[in-house]
Amino acid sequence: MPAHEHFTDNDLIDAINQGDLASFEVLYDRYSGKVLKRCYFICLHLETARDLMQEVWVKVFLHLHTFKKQSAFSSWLYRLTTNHCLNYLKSKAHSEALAGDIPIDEPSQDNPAASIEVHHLLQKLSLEDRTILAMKFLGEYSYEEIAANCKIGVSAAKMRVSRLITRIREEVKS
Amino acid sequence: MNDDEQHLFEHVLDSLAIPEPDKTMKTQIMKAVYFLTVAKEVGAFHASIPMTLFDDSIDE
Repeated sequence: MPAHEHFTDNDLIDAINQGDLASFEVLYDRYSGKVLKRCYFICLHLETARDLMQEVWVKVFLHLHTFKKQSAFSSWLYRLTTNHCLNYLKSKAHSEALAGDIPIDEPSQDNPAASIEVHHLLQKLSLEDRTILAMKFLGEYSYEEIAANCKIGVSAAKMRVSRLITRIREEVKS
Repeated sequence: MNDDEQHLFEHVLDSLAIPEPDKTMKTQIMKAVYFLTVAKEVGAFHASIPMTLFDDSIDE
C-alpha cells in the first residue's frame, strides 16, 4: 500500500481498472475530505452529506472506466459530486414541495466563528443561487451550461455569479 | 474561474469546518466496492458459460 501513495491519480485509475482495490482506497483517502466538503456545501446537512458522499464513491467506482483522462481526475470527480448532490436537491425539493422543508444543520456553538458566518451566509442564499454557485465553483460549469440549467440568459448567468461572488467576498471580509 | 475566485471558494469550503470522513465511512464504501467487484466477476462468469449448458428444451 505505501507504494501506491506516490502514484499519480491516473496511475491509480489504471490499477483500479485492472481490479486493484488498494488503489481505490488510496484515491478515496486522497479526495474523500474534499468530496465531503462539497457535498455539505450543497446540502448543508452533515448526515445527508455523508450519505451523498458514499453514493458518490460508489458511482466513481462504477463509472471510473468511462473517465477518458482528458481532464484532471479531480475535475471529473467534483463534477460527478456536484451533479449527484444537485440531483438530490432537485428530487428532494420536488418531493417536499417546499425547499424550506429540506433538513439543514444549524451551526453548533462549538464551531469556529468563521464557520458560523459562512454557514449563515449559505443558508440565506436561495436554492437557485446555491445551485449556481455549486455549478460554477464545484462543478466548473461554463456560463452557457449554467444559463441552460437555470433557464436564464448567458449574460444573466454571468451577472448572478458576479453578484454572488461579491456578496460572499463581503461576508468573508466582515 | 480565476485564481482569486478559486482561493475565495476554497476559503469558504475550509471555513465550514467539516470534520474529515471517519473510518466507518471508509469501511462501508470499501465493502460496497468489494461486493460490486464480486458481483461483476460472478456476472462475467455466468456470461462466459455457453448457453447450450442451460438449454433444457426437449425434442418432441
